[in-house]
Amino acid sequence: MNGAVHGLEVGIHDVWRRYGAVTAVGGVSLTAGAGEFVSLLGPSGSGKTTLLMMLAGFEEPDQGRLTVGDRDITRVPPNKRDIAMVFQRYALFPHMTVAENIAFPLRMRRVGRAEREERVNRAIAMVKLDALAGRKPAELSGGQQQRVALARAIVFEPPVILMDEPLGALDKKLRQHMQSELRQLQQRLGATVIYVTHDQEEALTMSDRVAVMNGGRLVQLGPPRELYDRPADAFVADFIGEMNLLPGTLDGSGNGGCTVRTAAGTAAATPSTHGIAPGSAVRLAIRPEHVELVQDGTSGLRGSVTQCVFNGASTAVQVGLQGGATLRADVGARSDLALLRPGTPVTASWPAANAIAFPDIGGTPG
Amino acid sequence: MAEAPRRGQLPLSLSMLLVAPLVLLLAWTFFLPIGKLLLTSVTEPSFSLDNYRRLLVEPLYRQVIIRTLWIALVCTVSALLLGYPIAALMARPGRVAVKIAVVCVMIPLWTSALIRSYAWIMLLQRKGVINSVLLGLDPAAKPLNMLYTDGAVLMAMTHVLLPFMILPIASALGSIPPDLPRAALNLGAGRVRTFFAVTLPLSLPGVFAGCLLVFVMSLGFYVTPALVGGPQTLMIATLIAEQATTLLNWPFAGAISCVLLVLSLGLTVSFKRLLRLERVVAHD
Repeated sequence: MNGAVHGLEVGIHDVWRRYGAVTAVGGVSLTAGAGEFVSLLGPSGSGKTTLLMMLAGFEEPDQGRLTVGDRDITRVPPNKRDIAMVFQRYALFPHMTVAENIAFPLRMRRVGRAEREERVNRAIAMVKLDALAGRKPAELSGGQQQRVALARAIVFEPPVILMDEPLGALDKKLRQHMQSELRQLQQRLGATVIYVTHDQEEALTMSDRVAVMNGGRLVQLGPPRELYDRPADAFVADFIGEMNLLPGTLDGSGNGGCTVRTAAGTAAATPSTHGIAPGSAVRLAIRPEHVELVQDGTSGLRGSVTQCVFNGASTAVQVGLQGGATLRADVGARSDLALLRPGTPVTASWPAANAIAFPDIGGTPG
Repeated sequence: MAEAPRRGQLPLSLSMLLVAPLVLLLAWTFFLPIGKLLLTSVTEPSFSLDNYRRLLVEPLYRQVIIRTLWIALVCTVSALLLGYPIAALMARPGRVAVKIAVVCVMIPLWTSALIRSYAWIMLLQRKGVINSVLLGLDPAAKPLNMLYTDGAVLMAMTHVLLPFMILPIASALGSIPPDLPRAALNLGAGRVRTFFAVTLPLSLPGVFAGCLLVFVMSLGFYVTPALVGGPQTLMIATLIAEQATTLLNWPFAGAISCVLLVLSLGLTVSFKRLLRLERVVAHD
């Protein structure tokens, strides 16, 4: 097992899946490189689970192709795909012991008894469950059950592992611990992992690349950093991390930057595309940590402090802007700004490079 | 743990008070007559076990007991083989076929065994539906003798008792999370191996419950064998009725009843043991 497994490239080529009038997955294409950790991130109903089910073979695409390495698996039955899956609710067989559960995929592949035992023991050791091999799943805690499910998925050395929110049922502390353990295990095995989650923090911390899905479509695919710094649209901007989205109109643009007029004044921004005409409605996206607050300032958006929330490393200052919008600014917890009293008038501004103006296509994202 | 009554639980004295009418009614109308009947089986005509000896020694009665056990067994096995696929169909949610299957299972449950047995007579008798169709196809053929045979009893009893096999199995199958068979498929098991390695073992509690119900009920089944079976197909229950109502030999009827009771109770207890064992294996 140690380094012996090599992941295979997973290809999704223009895949569609409809349920009656509802399009669950609408023309998604993406490729996960061999050994890459790719997360499918999106709100419920975004099509990420349907996509995973199609990769596992429990759903068939209406249109499009799925490939693993050079092999087309679109019509291959699930038991012939050699793709492991870790289920959200673990799906351990309750009538089998931990060791029997883990041996199951090997028995199905007619691996000889001696080799089977050796590989089961190695997998059990990898997930640190040595003492529990003889127990039934019902006698284990949630975290332990998750480890068994993981061991069962890696024991037959699949080139691709699918995971459907595998940590969703665990409490926060254990989840964070399992995240790093899972990532280390994946890197050691070299398997390609497709990981479904609705938790953007989880996706950002674990993945090589994140595929953000919304309404059955792939909205953006890229490394976590890129998604955070250069979101493709207002939905991704709002979904990944904390983001202020202010309504306004584009005033004019020149050499890379532009100004956006809002009810509270004008602010600098970078247009998301070149095609936005002056005078059209936009949404101004600015991260709380990029907002610069000034007392008695003259330029920027005018408003007054409504409350300061202490978050440990930083303090979130809520500013009620003129015209009714709310702006969140994260300031250092030791800064004087963290001690502003509610009602204090402030102005907010930022460099044009840190704010993005998205065309407003109606509706509130998220 | 403190012995405070849990929410929704009544104090012991009140529970006793509430159960008392039923207990009294059962004692008066059920346990007392049965006790009396069983008592006469050892006191009349003289204080001895003669009635039981006769039951075991006379080949006719021995045959009846063996035939009853045999018919109950075949009936249980055929109900299991016929019922499991229907139960499996019922456990899949949402399809039209499921609703049709549920109706087909439930409607016979609401009609009495008497009516269903008469339906079988209509089908099987010399000038019944099946023979008319066969004679229509081939006028030269002789009508088949189907009614009043072991086969007729078996078919009719299996049909009447089928719901009691299907319902527990369907409920056991329905409680298996769909992720489990999926996980088996994902890990490389084909549909057949998935069934035998995962679905079947997890449905065993339902299978045992259904088998127990059908077997014990068919041991003491009266209406169907009495109507569909002939004098050659005596079963324990029809034998008891004959002794009690035709021959008025109440002590002997009591002895047969006692044997039936012991058989049923013994089977229930040993099945329950097996079931509990299976639960431990299957779910913990």
